[in-house]
Amino acid sequence: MTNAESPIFTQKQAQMLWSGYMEQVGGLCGSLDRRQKADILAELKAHLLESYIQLDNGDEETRISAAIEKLGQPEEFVPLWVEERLLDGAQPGSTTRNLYSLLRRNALTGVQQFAFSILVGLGYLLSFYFFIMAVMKVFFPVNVGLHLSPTGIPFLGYVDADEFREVLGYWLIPVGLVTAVTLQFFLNGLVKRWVGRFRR
Amino acid sequence: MQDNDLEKQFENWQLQLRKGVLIYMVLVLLDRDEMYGYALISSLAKKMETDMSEGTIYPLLNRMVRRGIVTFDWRIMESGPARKYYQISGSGRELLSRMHDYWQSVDTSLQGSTDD
Repeated sequence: MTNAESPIFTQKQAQMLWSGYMEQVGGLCGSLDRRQKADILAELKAHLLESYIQLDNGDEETRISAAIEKLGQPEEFVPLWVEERLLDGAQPGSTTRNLYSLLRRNALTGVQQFAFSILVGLGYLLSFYFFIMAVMKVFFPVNVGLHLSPTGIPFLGYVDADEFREVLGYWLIPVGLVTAVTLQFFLNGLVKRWVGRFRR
Repeated sequence: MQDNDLEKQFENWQLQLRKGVLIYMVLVLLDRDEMYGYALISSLAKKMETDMSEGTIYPLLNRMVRRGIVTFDWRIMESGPARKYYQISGSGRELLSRMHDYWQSVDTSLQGSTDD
C-alpha cells in the first residue's frame, strides 16, 4: 500500500476543500479496517490530484472545486464502495473482523430503519391528531381544546370535567391546522431523504 | 399512462442498460491495455458521453475485482502519488468474448427489426 501525496496548495480555501473532502471520505469509511480505508483514500487522492493537474485553467480553488465536482460528493459513491469492500471481506478466507464489521453494519442499518419507521409513524399520527382536534373544536367548542389539569399538566383532547381549564379557545383551529400541515411537510421531507440514502 | 411514470420507466431502463454497458466498456478498455483509475474513467467518459460522477465507477471496479474478472496492483511512481493499475484477467477476457458475441447478435436483431 501507498502513501498518496497531497498537493501543496498556496490558497487556504483550496487546502480546506481538499482536507474537507478527504475527511468526509474518511468518515464514511468508518466500518472498514485501517488498510481498506487507506486503500480507498489513496486511490481517491491519486484521482483528484491527477484531475487537478489536468484542469490547468484557473486558480487552485477553482481547479480543486472542479475536480471534486467531476469526482462527485463522497456520499454519492463512498457508501457503496465501502459495502463492496466489506463484501470483499466476506469471501472465503476472510478475517473474523471483516465478517463482524459486515454483520454489524447490516444489523445497524436494520435497527436504524426500524427505529426510523416507528418515529415517522408516530409523527404522522400526531399530525393527524392535531388535524382531528382542530376539526372537532368546531363541533365541540367547550370540551375540545388544550386543557390544563388542576396540577398544571397540559392535555390536548376531549375533556368533560369542570376542574380542567381550557387555554387556547378557538385559536386551537388555526394552531392545530398549521401544526398538522407543518408536521406533514417535515415528515415527507425526512422520508424522502431517508429513502434516497438507500436508492443510491 | 402518466408522463411521470413513463419518464421513470425510461430512466430505470436507461440505468440498467448503462450499468450493463459500463461493465462491457471497462473490459473492452482493459483488454487493450492496463489502466489506472483516472485514465480508465476519463476514457469511459469520452466514449460513453455520460454525465455521471467519476467516483461511481470505483465501487463497480471493486466488484469486478472481487468477481475475478479484473485484477490490480499498486505502483510507486517517480513523481506523484502511487497508482492502482487495473488489468483484465483470463476469466475477464472470456467474459468479454461472450459479451461481444451476444452484443453482435443483439445488434443484428435490432438492425433486422428496424429494417422491417
